[in-house]
Amino acid sequence: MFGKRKEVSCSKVRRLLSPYIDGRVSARERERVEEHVRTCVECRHELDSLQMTVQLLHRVPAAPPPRSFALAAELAKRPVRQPGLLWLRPATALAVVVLLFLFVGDMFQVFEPTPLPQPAPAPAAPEEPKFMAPGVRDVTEEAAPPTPPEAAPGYPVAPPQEIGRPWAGFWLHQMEIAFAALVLVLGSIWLFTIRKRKSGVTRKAG
Amino acid sequence: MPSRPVKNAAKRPMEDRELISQSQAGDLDSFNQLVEKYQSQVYNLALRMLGNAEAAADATQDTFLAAYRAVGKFRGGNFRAWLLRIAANSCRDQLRAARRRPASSLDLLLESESPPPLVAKTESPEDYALRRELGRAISDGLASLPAEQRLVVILSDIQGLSYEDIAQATRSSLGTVKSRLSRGRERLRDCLLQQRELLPPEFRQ
Repeated sequence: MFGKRKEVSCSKVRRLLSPYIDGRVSARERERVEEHVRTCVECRHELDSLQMTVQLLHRVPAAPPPRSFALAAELAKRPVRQPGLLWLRPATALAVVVLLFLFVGDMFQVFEPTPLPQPAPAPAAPEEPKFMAPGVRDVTEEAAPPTPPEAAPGYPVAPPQEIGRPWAGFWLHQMEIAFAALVLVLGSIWLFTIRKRKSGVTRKAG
Repeated sequence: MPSRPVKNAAKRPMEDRELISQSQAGDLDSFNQLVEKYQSQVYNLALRMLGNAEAAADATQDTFLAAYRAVGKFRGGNFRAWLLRIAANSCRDQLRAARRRPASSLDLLLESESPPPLVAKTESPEDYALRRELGRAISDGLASLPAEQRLVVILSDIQGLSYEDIAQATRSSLGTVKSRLSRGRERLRDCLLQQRELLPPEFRQ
């Protein structure tokens, strides 16, 4: 019985030796290790040689740094982000907010005009440009269909596939597409600049 | 008049916490005080990881540059572990770069090493030679370990970090730290026992 216990224990104890040296085993595990090495010569040698290795490593002298690694002012001041892109984050956020506003409004049919026999000025669509930042407006006009969102005398007829949908809904639809495209464009520019920044020295700080 | 002598009367040594918040506010001088405090640790980690003084100096410079750029993201906790994580990443980059170059440069990286400095002038030439050989045996042993085991062994047994700090510096679990440390030490021990004659007398079995 004594011999059988010893065989089973050796492999288990050896796994505990390293944390045992650091005092990182439970009280029960510690007892187990100490009891085992009292009788098992091979495991005793294992423990001793590991302890020797650790102590030798403790004695490795620290090499003095060859020079000071203090940062020079010019090195440290190099800008990480180009100042021209400072507008990127707020513009993206704004576009997302407007997009959500349009989607939610569409869902709850906020923009539905009261039924009229002939086309009338869109109740909400021309209001959208007010929410846009100046820079955003230009991009929107590029992404949206050529006709500007402001109310113009000749309203385009809703495309055939949207028969039955109020034409204000058509404008809403265009706005949703425009802002979705805007969010995608700004978002991908943002992701690209983040990636570009991270591929430099700053990646190490992740 | 201070009641006990002040080491550096011109500059009151500041706590890490103060230096860190000043650095976060953009004060380069405060950050450089942190550099001076930790550069030996970072340099020695790199030296033991890479086995080459020049590569270690590059890694150290990269580390502090990256740390300065990222200090705004430091949210408190163990600054040393945070800094050594950046250092570990710099070392990994150096190893990767060496691998991309022709094979010989990686060997050079791991084998070449400047001799250890004389600890005491009273040391006999024989003792110095023995110590130098032992130092070389330890370096060779470390170089033979897989990088992640080598890193954990250095952080634990040369830098003196706790398991938790190592886990933070290597972004791994406690269990991983324990097993890497265990295997790394065993492997290093096996290397050293192959050159038994170099071991100090108290260790020869």
